Amino acid sequence: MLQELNKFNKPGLWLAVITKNNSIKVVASSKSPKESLTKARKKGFKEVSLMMSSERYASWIPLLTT
Amino acid sequence: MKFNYTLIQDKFLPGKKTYLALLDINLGENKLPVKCLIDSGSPISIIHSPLAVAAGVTPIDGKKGILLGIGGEPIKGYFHKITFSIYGSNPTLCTVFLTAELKVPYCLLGQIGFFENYKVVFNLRKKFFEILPA
Repeated sequence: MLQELNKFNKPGLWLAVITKNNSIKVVASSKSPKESLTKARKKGFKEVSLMMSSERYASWIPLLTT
Repeated sequence: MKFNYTLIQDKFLPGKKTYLALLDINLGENKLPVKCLIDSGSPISIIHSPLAVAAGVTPIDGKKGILLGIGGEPIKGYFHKITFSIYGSNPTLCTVFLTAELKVPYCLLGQIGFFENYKVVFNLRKKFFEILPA
């Protein structure tokens, strides 16, 4: 059910994520942030936060558009 | 408050991993939980506009503006006053930049909007950072 963030490399989706053992796990994804949040809460995850999926999660320069 | 650094795996980095100072904030009246990168290099806090909309903010009600990326590319968006809170702290009203053109996966907590309100102590060696009221 939980997916490693670095394995989710389809960019542009909204991810509902949790932090477990200091690393991020994806619990739901959708084209809409609200829908992603709703999906995650339906799965029973209350402490989630939202972020965007990307091809890279650490090796970019902030604000650099591609 | 002390927070742990988040381990991020990225195959393009030497060692294929790094630790980022990521912080969850509650955004807007809807208290939308959003993952943000603490980015002292950013002059202003930058929020993905779809998240702002979900948080109950209408981006086009703000003042239109353009920021330049580190590579010089213009990024269009809107300056807005928005409230956010960190782990149950009192909501802070501050100016942020809302844009749909930010390609970074996290929202950015920059100088205006975040560092002007909070003091941050980074301690990567011990894998934690601390946030205190300024």
